[in-house]
Amino acid sequence: MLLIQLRLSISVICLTILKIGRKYVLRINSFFFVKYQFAIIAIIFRKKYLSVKHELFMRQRFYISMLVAVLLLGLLYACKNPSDHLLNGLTNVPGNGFDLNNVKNDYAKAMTMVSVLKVTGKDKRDKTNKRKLRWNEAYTIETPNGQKMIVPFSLEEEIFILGRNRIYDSYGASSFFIVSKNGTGHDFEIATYVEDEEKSMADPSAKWSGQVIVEDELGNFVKAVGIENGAIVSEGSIQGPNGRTLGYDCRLVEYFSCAYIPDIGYYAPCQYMYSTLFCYYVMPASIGNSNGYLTVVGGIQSSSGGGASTDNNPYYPLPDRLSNLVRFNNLTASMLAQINAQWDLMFEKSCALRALYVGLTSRNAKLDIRYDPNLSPSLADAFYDPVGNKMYFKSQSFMTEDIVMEEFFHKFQNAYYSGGTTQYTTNGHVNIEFEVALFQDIMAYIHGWPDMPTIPTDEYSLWIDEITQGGTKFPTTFGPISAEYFNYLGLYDTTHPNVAGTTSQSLTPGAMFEIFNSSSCPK
Amino acid sequence: MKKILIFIICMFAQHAFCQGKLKKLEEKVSSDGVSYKVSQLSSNPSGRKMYSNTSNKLDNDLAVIPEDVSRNAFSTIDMGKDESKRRDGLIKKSFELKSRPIPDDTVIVNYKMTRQGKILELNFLIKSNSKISVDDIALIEKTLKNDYIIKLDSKQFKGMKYIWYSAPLALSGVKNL
Repeated sequence: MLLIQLRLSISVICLTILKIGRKYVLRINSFFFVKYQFAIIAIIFRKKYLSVKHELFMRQRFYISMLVAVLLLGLLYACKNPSDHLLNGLTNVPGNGFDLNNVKNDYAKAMTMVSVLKVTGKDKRDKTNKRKLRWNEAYTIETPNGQKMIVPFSLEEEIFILGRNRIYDSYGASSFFIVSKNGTGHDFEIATYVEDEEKSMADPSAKWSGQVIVEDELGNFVKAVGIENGAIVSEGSIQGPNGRTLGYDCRLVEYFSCAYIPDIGYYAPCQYMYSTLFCYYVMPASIGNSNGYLTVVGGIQSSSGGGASTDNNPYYPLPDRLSNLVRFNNLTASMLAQINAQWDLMFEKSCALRALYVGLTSRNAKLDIRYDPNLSPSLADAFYDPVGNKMYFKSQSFMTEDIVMEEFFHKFQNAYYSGGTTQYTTNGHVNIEFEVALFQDIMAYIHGWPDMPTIPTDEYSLWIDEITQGGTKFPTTFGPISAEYFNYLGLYDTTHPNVAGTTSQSLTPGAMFEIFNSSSCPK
Repeated sequence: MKKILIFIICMFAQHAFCQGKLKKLEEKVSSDGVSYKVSQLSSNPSGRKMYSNTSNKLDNDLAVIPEDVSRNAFSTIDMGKDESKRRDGLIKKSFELKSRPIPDDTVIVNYKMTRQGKILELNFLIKSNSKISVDDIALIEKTLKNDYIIKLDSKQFKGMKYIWYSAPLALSGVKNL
């Protein structure tokens, strides 16, 4: 503790010095360096050229110079980069007890066994053991079983797991690389979350249900954890039963190789590659022994205390609005905080955006959010997929206020329109996109925000003025905008070739009016 | 009967063609000789008027957003407080140099610019009862076109014919700067 305080004090002093001017520090340092160079030369040749008195004087100066130099070097070391002393990506989690270099070394040692493994081309480990760990994005979490480090990763050649509604999710985005402490060493696990499609589809408002398949770093099956409605209900192990068992269960997981289709939100065509049959003895869950599998995925709340607690999370000085909207996510703590912060900004900025949030929560419109760096086309930097009810982000840089708003608006459309927006994946997709663009233009005009209007013509600007009654009122019915709506919808289609699908002449922007009507905005 | 039918068709046609269409009200010329087309939506006679320099060529241009323009592109246009202050400072200086009083009103300015942030064209949405004169408009336009370069990340807009955005300009804020 004292050491940390000392280091922090040094860092503060250093940063102040750096603020004044780093060049002066460097100058001081080089001055002393030259000085003690002379002193060393002087000591070497002292017998020949220097008197005893002078030698003592020189020795004194040498020691003082050395002391000052050591202090300055220490200061410079501390100043070099304050974050150098902390683990990459773990800088903002207080009290993390992982030494990243040790973790990396232990992992490298463990992975030397890969060469011994007899993995054939028909084994998914052929791909899954070639993982690229993004150490710089690692973060720690507190779990009922102690602190864990989560390291996001992707595979050199990504494979995909077939999920709900024939949607494929990348292995990297479905799995978590978890590091636990084991004495002076570390244990590594890969937890893959395989959703129970039937349960999810039966009740979209329920919490996550499925299996967590846990493997070691070499891809060997360790155990399976059953989750129902956000709580652990069973644990399975390949070892024989030594207590009460619920039976013997097997689960087949199939892996595919897929290509992306831009702007649609799923991966296709996919080609079957591997299947793995995980069989295990099922035992009742030991309460409080979740090993953090629920804490890992922030969207899953646990009744046994393993849920995503934000109590001690430095990322949540703001109200945690996101947890009311998310069922499952694989976001880092920093990403969760960023999206939550965008919601906070949106709350401040507009009555309409507050109504959007209320509209989502009142419909219990939860969704999965996935961070998937494997999204390849630029169009798919971020999107909401109504078929799988999932929101995807290619990177944290796309978790901006505008994009977060737009994607959650799409989620609202899916909840609002009878039968969801899957029916408009092709015919009507332009309407769905234009609706959110118009929603943004109306808000920007009324609130006086800078905006890139959806259509850059004089007529469109004046139309927005007209339908908002000079920027004073939010439109609440289709009637006043009906005369020109489909005209601008057509122009939007022409000017936005990146928006796939076609226009529908029967779909009007009802979701937008629902938000305006239910809001406290002037109307 | 035939005449009645023709009359009804004419009524519908008139309604259809007039609805939401831009109607040129007049042309105003500033004391510097810059002429502006003043238009309004025929369906909204009490709404704002659009002032466009008659030399503008992009007023009704339907620019296509190329597929590889990132969704984050717009956020790279610097519209922060410092930039707004810089813009307002330039306008204030111009009014002071001309010894013109700055009117108390807010205009909505539509900017069209190059990928390097150089303003190509502007137009102005002004309330129908506004006290802003055509000379004020001409001075604002001249200042912005000559002295104001908008900061943005040009790489993000690769392939775009021009970049546009719209932002209110509160002249009361300019006056009190």
